[in-house]
Amino acid sequence: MGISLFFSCKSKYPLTAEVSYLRTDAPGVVVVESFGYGNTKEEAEEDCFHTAFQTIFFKGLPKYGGLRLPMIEDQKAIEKEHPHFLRSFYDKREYMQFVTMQGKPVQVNKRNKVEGIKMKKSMAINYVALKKYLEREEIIRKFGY
Amino acid sequence: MKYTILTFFAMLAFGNIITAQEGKVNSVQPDIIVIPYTKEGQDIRTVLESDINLRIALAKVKEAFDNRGFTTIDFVATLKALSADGGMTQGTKTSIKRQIIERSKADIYVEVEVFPMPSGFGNSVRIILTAYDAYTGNSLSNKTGTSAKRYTDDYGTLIELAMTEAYYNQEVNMLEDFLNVMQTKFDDIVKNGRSIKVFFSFTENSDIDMHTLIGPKRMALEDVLEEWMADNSFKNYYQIGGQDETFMNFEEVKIPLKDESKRNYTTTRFASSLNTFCNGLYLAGKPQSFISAKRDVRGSVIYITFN
Repeated sequence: MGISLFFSCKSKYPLTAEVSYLRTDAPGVVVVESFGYGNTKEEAEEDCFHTAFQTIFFKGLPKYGGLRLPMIEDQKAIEKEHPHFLRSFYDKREYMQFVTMQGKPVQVNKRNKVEGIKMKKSMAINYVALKKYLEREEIIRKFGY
Repeated sequence: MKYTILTFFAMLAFGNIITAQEGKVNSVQPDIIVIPYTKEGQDIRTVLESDINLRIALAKVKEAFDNRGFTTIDFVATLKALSADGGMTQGTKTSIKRQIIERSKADIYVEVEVFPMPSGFGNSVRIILTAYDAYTGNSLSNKTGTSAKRYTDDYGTLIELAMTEAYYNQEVNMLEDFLNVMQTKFDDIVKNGRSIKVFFSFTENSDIDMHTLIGPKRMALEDVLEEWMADNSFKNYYQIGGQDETFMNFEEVKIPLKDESKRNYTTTRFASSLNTFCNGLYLAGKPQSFISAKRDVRGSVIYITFN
Protein backbone atom coordinates (compact mmCIF):
# COMPACT_ATOMS: atom_id res chain seq x y z
CA MET A 1 0.00 0.00 0.00
CA GLY A 2 2.76 2.37 1.07
CA ILE A 3 4.83 1.52 -1.96
CA SER A 4 1.94 1.82 -4.38
CA LEU A 5 1.05 5.24 -2.95
CA PHE A 6 4.63 6.36 -3.29
CA PHE A 7 4.91 5.26 -6.87
CA SER A 8 1.53 6.62 -7.90
CA CYS A 9 3.04 10.09 -8.19
CA LYS A 10 6.17 8.92 -10.00
CA SER A 11 7.08 7.32 -13.28
CA LYS A 12 4.71 4.54 -14.17
CA TYR A 13 7.58 2.25 -15.00
CA PRO A 14 7.31 -0.75 -12.63
CA LEU A 15 9.75 -1.36 -9.82
CA THR A 16 12.55 -3.59 -11.05
CA ALA A 17 15.22 -5.61 -9.28
CA GLU A 18 18.06 -4.21 -11.36
CA VAL A 19 20.70 -4.39 -8.67
CA SER A 20 24.21 -5.76 -9.12
CA TYR A 21 26.55 -6.71 -6.36
CA LEU A 22 29.90 -4.95 -6.81
CA ARG A 23 32.01 -5.64 -3.72
CA THR A 24 32.23 -5.42 0.04
CA ASP A 25 34.33 -2.57 1.36
CA ALA A 26 34.17 -3.56 5.00
CA PRO A 27 32.46 -6.26 7.06
CA GLY A 28 28.74 -5.56 7.04
CA VAL A 29 28.90 -3.07 4.16
CA VAL A 30 27.94 -4.05 0.64
CA VAL A 31 28.50 -1.95 -2.48
CA VAL A 32 25.84 -2.31 -5.16
CA GLU A 33 24.88 -0.66 -8.40
CA SER A 34 21.19 -0.16 -9.09
CA PHE A 35 18.98 1.35 -11.75
CA GLY A 36 16.05 3.68 -11.32
CA TYR A 37 13.38 5.29 -13.46
CA GLY A 38 11.62 8.63 -13.22
CA ASN A 39 10.14 11.57 -15.03
CA THR A 40 13.03 13.70 -13.88
CA LYS A 41 16.66 12.96 -13.09
CA GLU A 42 15.99 13.50 -9.39
CA GLU A 43 13.14 11.02 -9.43
CA ALA A 44 15.20 8.46 -11.28
CA GLU A 45 18.05 8.86 -8.80
CA GLU A 46 15.66 8.38 -5.89
CA ASP A 47 14.32 5.33 -7.61
CA CYS A 48 17.84 3.82 -7.64
CA PHE A 49 17.70 3.75 -3.84
CA HIS A 50 14.25 2.18 -3.86
CA THR A 51 15.36 -0.50 -6.28
CA ALA A 52 18.39 -1.31 -4.11
CA PHE A 53 16.56 -1.40 -0.77
CA GLN A 54 13.46 -3.15 -2.05
CA THR A 55 15.65 -5.85 -3.60
CA ILE A 56 17.64 -6.33 -0.40
CA PHE A 57 14.41 -6.44 1.61
CA PHE A 58 12.32 -8.76 -0.50
CA LYS A 59 14.45 -10.47 -3.13
CA GLY A 60 18.02 -10.80 -1.86
CA LEU A 61 21.28 -10.53 -3.75
CA PRO A 62 22.11 -14.03 -5.03
CA LYS A 63 25.75 -13.18 -5.71
CA TYR A 64 26.50 -12.13 -2.17
CA GLY A 65 26.24 -14.79 0.54
CA GLY A 66 25.43 -12.38 3.34
CA LEU A 67 22.36 -11.11 1.49
CA ARG A 68 21.54 -14.15 -0.64
CA LEU A 69 18.26 -14.55 1.20
CA PRO A 70 15.82 -11.64 1.41
CA MET A 71 15.89 -9.79 4.72
CA ILE A 72 12.11 -9.80 4.95
CA GLU A 73 10.42 -13.04 4.10
CA ASP A 74 6.85 -11.99 3.49
CA GLN A 75 6.34 -8.69 1.69
CA LYS A 76 2.54 -8.85 1.77
CA ALA A 77 2.51 -9.54 5.51
CA ILE A 78 4.74 -6.53 6.17
CA GLU A 79 2.61 -4.27 4.00
CA LYS A 80 -0.45 -5.48 5.88
CA GLU A 81 0.90 -5.53 9.45
CA HIS A 82 3.17 -2.47 9.20
CA PRO A 83 1.50 -0.29 6.57
CA HIS A 84 3.37 2.84 7.62
CA PHE A 85 6.82 1.37 7.80
CA LEU A 86 7.73 1.23 4.12
CA ARG A 87 6.00 4.51 3.36
CA SER A 88 7.92 6.27 6.10
CA PHE A 89 11.14 4.51 5.16
CA TYR A 90 11.01 5.83 1.59
CA ASP A 91 9.04 9.07 1.89
CA LYS A 92 11.15 10.37 4.77
CA ARG A 93 14.27 8.97 3.14
CA GLU A 94 15.13 7.04 6.28
CA TYR A 95 17.12 4.65 4.11
CA MET A 96 19.79 7.33 3.73
CA GLN A 97 21.10 6.58 7.23
CA PHE A 98 22.29 3.20 5.91
CA VAL A 99 23.98 4.57 2.79
CA THR A 100 27.63 4.98 3.68
CA MET A 101 28.81 6.04 0.23
CA GLN A 102 27.16 6.99 -3.04
CA GLY A 103 28.51 7.37 -6.54
CA LYS A 104 27.50 9.96 -9.09
CA PRO A 105 24.27 9.03 -10.89
CA VAL A 106 24.63 8.36 -14.61
CA GLN A 107 21.81 8.55 -17.14
CA VAL A 108 21.85 5.41 -19.29
CA ASN A 109 19.06 6.06 -21.82
CA LYS A 110 17.51 8.77 -23.91
CA ARG A 111 14.35 9.96 -22.23
CA ASN A 112 11.40 8.09 -23.74
CA LYS A 113 7.73 7.54 -23.04
CA VAL A 114 8.05 4.03 -21.70
CA GLU A 115 10.98 4.36 -19.31
CA GLY A 116 11.15 8.08 -18.76
CA ILE A 117 14.70 8.71 -17.59
CA LYS A 118 16.75 5.69 -16.57
CA MET A 119 19.74 6.19 -14.31
CA LYS A 120 22.30 4.00 -12.63
CA LYS A 121 23.98 4.68 -9.35
CA SER A 122 26.39 2.89 -7.09
CA MET A 123 26.05 3.00 -3.33
CA ALA A 124 27.44 1.33 -0.23
CA ILE A 125 24.84 0.03 2.20
CA ASN A 126 25.52 -0.86 5.80
CA TYR A 127 23.32 -3.94 5.81
CA VAL A 128 24.22 -4.98 9.35
CA ALA A 129 22.89 -1.68 10.68
CA LEU A 130 19.88 -2.00 8.39
CA LYS A 131 19.12 -5.43 9.79
CA LYS A 132 19.41 -4.18 13.37
CA TYR A 133 17.06 -1.31 12.48
CA LEU A 134 14.50 -3.77 11.10
CA GLU A 135 14.81 -5.84 14.28
CA ARG A 136 14.32 -2.77 16.43
CA GLU A 137 11.24 -1.78 14.45
CA GLU A 138 9.99 -5.38 14.88
CA ILE A 139 9.79 -5.84 11.13
CA ILE A 140 11.96 -8.94 11.38
CA ARG A 141 12.71 -11.18 14.33
CA LYS A 142 15.99 -11.18 16.15
CA PHE A 143 18.19 -14.19 15.58
CA GLY A 144 16.57 -17.03 17.46
CA TYR A 145 13.10 -18.44 18.05
CA MET B 1 0.40 17.29 49.26
CA LYS B 2 3.51 17.82 47.15
CA TYR B 3 4.84 14.41 48.18
CA THR B 4 1.49 12.81 47.52
CA ILE B 5 1.51 14.13 43.94
CA LEU B 6 5.13 13.09 43.44
CA THR B 7 4.37 9.64 44.82
CA PHE B 8 1.36 9.40 42.53
CA PHE B 9 3.46 10.21 39.44
CA ALA B 10 6.24 7.92 40.60
CA MET B 11 3.77 5.08 41.00
CA LEU B 12 2.27 5.87 37.63
CA ALA B 13 5.68 5.76 35.98
CA PHE B 14 6.62 2.56 37.84
CA GLY B 15 3.31 1.03 36.81
CA ASN B 16 4.04 1.90 33.19
CA ILE B 17 7.42 0.26 33.39
CA ILE B 18 5.92 -2.89 34.80
CA THR B 19 3.20 -2.90 32.16
CA ALA B 20 5.74 -2.38 29.42
CA GLN B 21 7.86 -5.23 30.73
CA GLU B 22 4.87 -7.52 31.05
CA GLY B 23 3.71 -6.70 27.57
CA LYS B 24 7.11 -7.27 26.04
CA VAL B 25 7.48 -10.52 24.17
CA ASN B 26 11.03 -11.75 24.34
CA SER B 27 12.25 -13.96 21.56
CA VAL B 28 13.88 -17.09 22.89
CA GLN B 29 17.48 -17.25 21.86
CA PRO B 30 18.59 -20.84 21.66
CA ASP B 31 21.80 -21.97 23.36
CA ILE B 32 24.37 -23.07 20.82
CA ILE B 33 27.44 -25.25 21.11
CA VAL B 34 30.00 -25.56 18.33
CA ILE B 35 31.60 -29.00 18.14
CA PRO B 36 34.04 -30.78 15.84
CA TYR B 37 32.73 -33.31 13.35
CA THR B 38 33.77 -36.86 14.20
CA LYS B 39 33.54 -40.03 12.18
CA GLU B 40 32.06 -43.23 13.57
CA GLY B 41 34.40 -44.55 16.25
CA GLN B 42 36.56 -41.42 16.50
CA ASP B 43 37.25 -39.96 19.91
CA ILE B 44 36.09 -36.35 19.88
CA ARG B 45 38.84 -35.34 22.35
CA THR B 46 41.64 -36.86 20.27
CA VAL B 47 40.29 -35.27 17.10
CA LEU B 48 40.26 -31.83 18.66
CA GLU B 49 43.59 -32.08 20.45
CA SER B 50 45.44 -33.25 17.35
CA ASP B 51 44.06 -30.69 14.92
CA ILE B 52 44.94 -27.02 15.39
CA ASN B 53 43.00 -26.09 12.22
CA LEU B 54 39.86 -27.55 13.64
CA ARG B 55 40.34 -25.64 16.87
CA ILE B 56 40.73 -22.41 14.89
CA ALA B 57 37.62 -23.17 12.88
CA LEU B 58 35.66 -23.86 16.07
CA ALA B 59 36.81 -20.55 17.52
CA LYS B 60 35.87 -18.66 14.33
CA VAL B 61 32.38 -20.11 14.15
CA LYS B 62 31.83 -19.51 17.86
CA GLU B 63 32.98 -15.92 17.34
CA ALA B 64 30.41 -15.47 14.56
CA PHE B 65 27.62 -16.48 16.91
CA ASP B 66 29.00 -14.28 19.69
CA ASN B 67 29.06 -11.33 17.28
CA ARG B 68 25.36 -11.84 16.70
CA GLY B 69 24.71 -11.37 20.40
CA PHE B 70 24.75 -14.97 21.48
CA THR B 71 26.33 -16.45 24.53
CA THR B 72 27.55 -19.69 23.12
CA ILE B 73 28.45 -22.67 25.24
CA ASP B 74 32.15 -23.38 25.17
CA PHE B 75 32.81 -26.84 23.85
CA VAL B 76 36.26 -27.28 25.41
CA ALA B 77 35.03 -26.13 28.81
CA THR B 78 32.09 -28.54 28.65
CA LEU B 79 34.41 -31.35 27.61
CA LYS B 80 36.77 -30.62 30.49
CA ALA B 81 33.92 -30.37 32.99
CA LEU B 82 32.53 -33.66 31.82
CA SER B 83 35.95 -35.33 32.11
CA ALA B 84 36.55 -33.84 35.56
CA ASP B 85 33.19 -35.07 36.81
CA GLY B 86 33.99 -38.54 35.57
CA GLY B 87 30.64 -38.36 33.84
CA MET B 88 32.01 -39.46 30.52
CA THR B 89 31.16 -43.05 29.77
CA GLN B 90 34.33 -44.82 28.79
CA GLY B 91 34.36 -47.19 25.86
CA THR B 92 31.42 -45.65 24.08
CA LYS B 93 33.23 -43.20 21.85
CA THR B 94 30.32 -42.38 19.58
CA SER B 95 28.12 -41.44 22.50
CA ILE B 96 30.62 -38.94 23.92
CA LYS B 97 29.31 -36.34 21.48
CA ARG B 98 25.78 -37.01 22.70
CA GLN B 99 26.95 -36.77 26.33
CA ILE B 100 28.60 -33.40 25.66
CA ILE B 101 25.51 -32.03 23.93
CA GLU B 102 23.25 -33.22 26.75
CA ARG B 103 25.59 -31.91 29.42
CA SER B 104 25.82 -28.50 27.73
CA LYS B 105 21.98 -28.18 27.63
CA ALA B 106 22.40 -26.66 24.18
CA ASP B 107 19.34 -26.34 21.96
CA ILE B 108 21.43 -26.35 18.81
CA TYR B 109 24.77 -27.87 18.01
CA VAL B 110 26.91 -26.88 15.06
CA GLU B 111 29.35 -29.40 13.64
CA VAL B 112 32.51 -28.11 12.01
CA GLU B 113 34.67 -30.06 9.58
CA VAL B 114 37.91 -28.76 8.04
CA PHE B 115 39.85 -30.12 5.04
CA PRO B 116 43.26 -28.55 4.36
CA MET B 117 44.05 -28.80 0.63
CA PRO B 118 47.77 -28.30 0.04
CA SER B 119 49.05 -28.01 -3.53
CA GLY B 120 52.06 -26.80 -5.49
CA PHE B 121 50.11 -23.71 -6.56
CA GLY B 122 49.24 -22.61 -3.07
CA ASN B 123 47.20 -23.99 -0.22
CA SER B 124 43.51 -23.72 0.39
CA VAL B 125 41.04 -25.04 2.89
CA ARG B 126 37.50 -26.35 2.69
CA ILE B 127 35.14 -26.04 5.62
CA ILE B 128 31.75 -27.66 6.23
CA LEU B 129 29.27 -26.33 8.79
CA THR B 130 26.11 -28.16 9.79
CA ALA B 131 23.63 -27.04 12.44
CA TYR B 132 21.25 -29.46 14.14
CA ASP B 133 18.39 -29.16 16.56
CA ALA B 134 19.81 -30.90 19.64
CA TYR B 135 16.46 -32.46 20.59
CA THR B 136 15.18 -33.77 17.31
CA GLY B 137 18.41 -34.08 15.34
CA ASN B 138 16.78 -32.17 12.48
CA SER B 139 19.21 -30.29 10.28
CA LEU B 140 18.80 -26.52 10.51
CA SER B 141 21.45 -25.31 8.12
CA ASN B 142 24.50 -26.55 6.25
CA LYS B 143 27.09 -24.79 4.18
CA THR B 144 30.44 -25.50 2.60
CA GLY B 145 33.08 -22.89 1.89
CA THR B 146 36.43 -23.01 0.15
CA SER B 147 39.18 -20.45 0.40
CA ALA B 148 41.11 -19.17 -2.59
CA LYS B 149 44.63 -20.61 -2.96
CA ARG B 150 47.34 -18.74 -1.10
CA TYR B 151 51.05 -19.35 -0.67
CA THR B 152 50.81 -19.76 3.07
CA ASP B 153 50.86 -22.52 5.65
CA ASP B 154 48.72 -20.46 7.97
CA TYR B 155 45.53 -22.48 7.76
CA GLY B 156 43.92 -20.26 10.36
CA THR B 157 43.96 -17.39 7.87
CA LEU B 158 42.70 -19.68 5.12
CA ILE B 159 39.82 -20.81 7.33
CA GLU B 160 38.89 -17.20 7.93
CA LEU B 161 39.06 -16.53 4.19
CA ALA B 162 36.91 -19.58 3.43
CA MET B 163 34.21 -18.20 5.64
CA THR B 164 34.24 -14.65 4.34
CA GLU B 165 36.25 -14.12 1.17
CA ALA B 166 35.26 -13.73 -2.47
CA TYR B 167 35.91 -16.88 -4.45
CA TYR B 168 35.62 -17.26 -8.23
CA ASN B 169 33.89 -13.88 -8.40
CA GLN B 170 31.32 -15.01 -5.84
CA GLU B 171 31.29 -13.26 -2.52
CA VAL B 172 30.76 -16.32 -0.41
CA ASN B 173 30.37 -14.93 3.09
CA MET B 174 29.49 -18.38 4.18
CA LEU B 175 28.88 -17.61 7.82
CA GLU B 176 26.30 -14.90 7.15
CA ASP B 177 24.50 -17.18 4.75
CA PHE B 178 24.70 -20.08 7.22
CA LEU B 179 23.17 -17.95 9.97
CA ASN B 180 20.51 -16.52 7.67
CA VAL B 181 19.38 -20.01 6.64
CA MET B 182 19.17 -20.91 10.33
CA GLN B 183 17.04 -17.86 10.92
CA THR B 184 14.59 -18.92 8.22
CA LYS B 185 14.27 -22.26 10.06
CA PHE B 186 13.69 -20.42 13.33
CA ASP B 187 11.02 -18.30 11.65
CA ASP B 188 9.40 -21.49 10.42
CA ILE B 189 9.45 -22.91 13.96
CA VAL B 190 7.81 -19.75 15.28
CA LYS B 191 5.18 -19.94 12.57
CA ASN B 192 4.54 -23.67 12.49
CA GLY B 193 5.68 -24.89 15.92
CA ARG B 194 8.54 -27.10 16.99
CA SER B 195 8.72 -30.83 16.48
CA ILE B 196 8.60 -33.42 19.22
CA LYS B 197 8.12 -37.17 19.22
CA VAL B 198 5.62 -39.14 21.27
CA PHE B 199 5.91 -42.86 21.87
CA PHE B 200 3.13 -44.89 23.50
CA SER B 201 3.78 -48.43 24.80
CA PHE B 202 2.58 -50.88 27.44
CA THR B 203 4.18 -52.61 30.40
CA GLU B 204 4.61 -56.36 30.05
CA ASN B 205 1.79 -57.08 32.53
CA SER B 206 -0.63 -54.59 31.02
CA ASP B 207 -4.21 -55.81 30.52
CA ILE B 208 -4.89 -53.39 27.70
CA ASP B 209 -3.53 -52.77 24.23
CA MET B 210 -4.11 -50.31 21.40
CA HIS B 211 -7.28 -52.11 20.34
CA THR B 212 -8.91 -51.90 23.78
CA LEU B 213 -12.20 -50.01 23.63
CA ILE B 214 -12.25 -46.81 25.64
CA GLY B 215 -14.87 -44.47 27.07
CA PRO B 216 -18.52 -43.87 26.23
CA LYS B 217 -17.87 -43.75 22.48
CA ARG B 218 -16.26 -47.23 22.63
CA MET B 219 -13.34 -46.09 20.49
CA ALA B 220 -10.12 -48.08 20.24
CA LEU B 221 -7.32 -46.60 22.36
CA GLU B 222 -5.26 -45.87 19.24
CA ASP B 223 -8.12 -43.82 17.79
CA VAL B 224 -8.62 -41.95 21.06
CA LEU B 225 -4.94 -41.04 21.14
CA GLU B 226 -4.92 -39.92 17.52
CA GLU B 227 -8.00 -37.79 18.09
CA TRP B 228 -6.37 -36.11 21.08
CA MET B 229 -3.23 -35.50 19.07
CA ALA B 230 -5.25 -33.97 16.23
CA ASP B 231 -6.96 -31.64 18.69
CA ASN B 232 -3.88 -30.64 20.65
CA SER B 233 -1.00 -30.55 18.17
CA PHE B 234 -0.09 -27.12 16.84
CA LYS B 235 -2.09 -26.38 13.71
CA ASN B 236 -3.28 -29.99 13.93
CA TYR B 237 0.01 -31.23 12.58
CA TYR B 238 1.19 -34.72 13.51
CA GLN B 239 2.58 -37.74 11.74
CA ILE B 240 2.28 -41.34 12.81
CA GLY B 241 5.49 -43.27 12.25
CA GLY B 242 4.12 -46.72 13.05
CA GLN B 243 1.67 -48.58 15.20
CA ASP B 244 0.33 -51.99 16.10
CA GLU B 245 -1.50 -53.33 19.12
CA THR B 246 1.57 -52.99 21.34
CA PHE B 247 2.74 -49.48 20.51
CA MET B 248 2.00 -46.24 18.74
CA ASN B 249 4.70 -43.92 17.53
CA PHE B 250 4.02 -40.29 16.67
CA GLU B 251 7.12 -39.51 14.66
CA GLU B 252 6.43 -35.80 14.57
CA VAL B 253 4.05 -33.69 16.60
CA LYS B 254 4.15 -29.92 16.37
CA ILE B 255 3.79 -27.93 19.56
CA PRO B 256 3.76 -24.14 19.83
CA LEU B 257 6.74 -22.19 21.15
CA LYS B 258 4.54 -20.05 23.39
CA ASP B 259 1.21 -20.59 25.07
CA GLU B 260 -1.70 -18.15 24.93
CA SER B 261 -0.18 -16.12 27.78
CA LYS B 262 3.05 -15.79 25.76
CA ARG B 263 4.89 -18.04 28.19
CA ASN B 264 7.30 -20.61 26.83
CA TYR B 265 5.55 -23.85 26.05
CA THR B 266 7.84 -26.76 26.77
CA THR B 267 7.80 -30.42 25.89
CA THR B 268 7.22 -31.25 29.55
CA ARG B 269 4.08 -29.12 29.65
CA PHE B 270 2.74 -30.89 26.59
CA ALA B 271 3.66 -34.22 28.23
CA SER B 272 1.84 -33.18 31.39
CA SER B 273 -1.39 -32.44 29.45
CA LEU B 274 -1.09 -35.69 27.56
CA ASN B 275 -0.45 -37.70 30.71
CA THR B 276 -3.42 -36.12 32.49
CA PHE B 277 -5.61 -37.01 29.53
CA CYS B 278 -4.34 -40.62 29.44
CA ASN B 279 -4.94 -41.10 33.16
CA GLY B 280 -8.50 -39.82 32.72
CA LEU B 281 -9.41 -42.51 30.20
CA TYR B 282 -11.52 -45.46 31.32
CA LEU B 283 -12.50 -48.76 29.80
CA ALA B 284 -15.70 -48.86 27.71
CA GLY B 285 -18.66 -49.78 29.87
CA LYS B 286 -16.59 -49.52 33.07
CA PRO B 287 -16.55 -45.84 34.15
CA GLN B 288 -14.68 -46.73 37.35
CA SER B 289 -11.83 -48.57 35.59
CA PHE B 290 -9.39 -45.79 34.81
CA ILE B 291 -6.31 -46.49 32.80
CA SER B 292 -2.98 -45.85 34.46
CA ALA B 293 -0.22 -44.20 32.46
CA LYS B 294 3.28 -43.03 33.28
CA ARG B 295 5.29 -40.45 31.38
CA ASP B 296 8.98 -39.88 30.74
CA VAL B 297 10.47 -36.96 28.85
CA ARG B 298 13.92 -37.08 27.30
CA GLY B 299 14.78 -33.98 25.34
CA SER B 300 11.94 -33.59 22.91
CA VAL B 301 10.76 -37.20 23.10
CA ILE B 302 7.80 -38.12 25.29
CA TYR B 303 7.35 -41.73 26.37
CA ILE B 304 3.93 -42.71 27.69
CA THR B 305 3.72 -46.20 29.17
CA PHE B 306 0.32 -47.71 29.99
CA ASN B 307 0.04 -50.19 32.85
